[in-house]
Amino acid sequence: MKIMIAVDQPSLDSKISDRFARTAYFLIYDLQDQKYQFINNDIETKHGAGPKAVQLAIDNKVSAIISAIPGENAMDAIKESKIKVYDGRGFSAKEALEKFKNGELKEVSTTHHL
Amino acid sequence: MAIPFRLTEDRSLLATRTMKIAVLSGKGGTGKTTVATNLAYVLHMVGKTIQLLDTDVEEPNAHIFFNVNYNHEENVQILLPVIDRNLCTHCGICAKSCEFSAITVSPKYIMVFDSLCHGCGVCSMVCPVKAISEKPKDIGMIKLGTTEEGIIFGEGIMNIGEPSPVRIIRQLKKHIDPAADVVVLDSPPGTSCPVIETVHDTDFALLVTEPTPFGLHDLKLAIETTREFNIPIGVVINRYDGSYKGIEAYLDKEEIPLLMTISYDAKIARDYSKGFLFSKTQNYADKFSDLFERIEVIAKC
Repeated sequence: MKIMIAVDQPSLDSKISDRFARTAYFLIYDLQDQKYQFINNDIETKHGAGPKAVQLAIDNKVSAIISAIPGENAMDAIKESKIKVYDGRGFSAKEALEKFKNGELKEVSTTHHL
Repeated sequence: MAIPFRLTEDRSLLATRTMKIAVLSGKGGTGKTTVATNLAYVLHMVGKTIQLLDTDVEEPNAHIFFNVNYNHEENVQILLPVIDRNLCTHCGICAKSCEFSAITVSPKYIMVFDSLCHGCGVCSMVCPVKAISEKPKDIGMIKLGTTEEGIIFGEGIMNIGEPSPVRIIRQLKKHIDPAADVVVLDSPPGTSCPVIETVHDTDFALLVTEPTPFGLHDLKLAIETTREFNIPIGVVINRYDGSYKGIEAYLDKEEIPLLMTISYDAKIARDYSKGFLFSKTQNYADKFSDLFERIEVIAKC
């Protein structure tokens, strides 16, 4: 199972980004073999950053996303593609992955910020 | 005695030359509409054939200063993709081709984001199985008419919720009247696509700013943007009281002409708030005439 995590820096110790689609990097982490890679996100995207990020998740066969609360367009695409999103605000990528494995992260189902 | 043929020919060439002036600002609320409407009015009163186009289609307000008799309305549409899900093979070529990420494709689903679509049609062109057709959608309208005084008038109005006014501005500009001596385009604020669409194919960019650090900051952005067009530019400082010199210093350094100042005057603000053209009563008719003469001189260089 692959997880996509929006992070500020290309490091497992990086904090989860405050934004989903306009984050600086995406970490794609494979829980089976623990292999991972960082993808440089094009933050200059002017339109459609949300759907573009979700397309990246689909293309990488990701089953879950850990990030801040995605925007409306991203959320629509996420729901349609049956990918689950988890709120990782306040954690590092490493912490968030541990919490995800233990089922401690809260699933995000709406774009309304809490 | 008959006028030599060549001379009349030259004159007719001069007479048919329409000068298109885009009034823009970068920062909002600096006085684009104030300058555009008063300039149009004053030039009309000195006998020129004037067309005023309000390209700020998200909040058109130039009409407030005139009694416009509208005689033409038309819808503005874009074509949105419609996916035939029985034909779609989820190959993803449409999503990769879309400049605006308006389509997302997964192995099982395909999703079109109408609000991101710019209606370019590339998805239906690249689809290898012809699963994408197009349906028109109204995004706004164009209204044309003439003001009570006789100024040729046009404006675009964007429907609420639409993301991009560019198509509306483009369609409005198709109504530029070649019979007009001067076309004044009242631009939206900012420096993004709607402003680019407005400035495109004009002869002069008239930048309106205010004497504040904010005005200067956004004026610089607007000037950088306008320079891409290689058209002459000039600046008007509105609400001018001489206390902030940052704009003049910048213009001097960049060798950009300051064409006019409008005083920081409560009477002007009161007129504006009532939808009244202040050049009608105050001594600004000559100033706007002078402004145009300077624009003409610069534009001919």
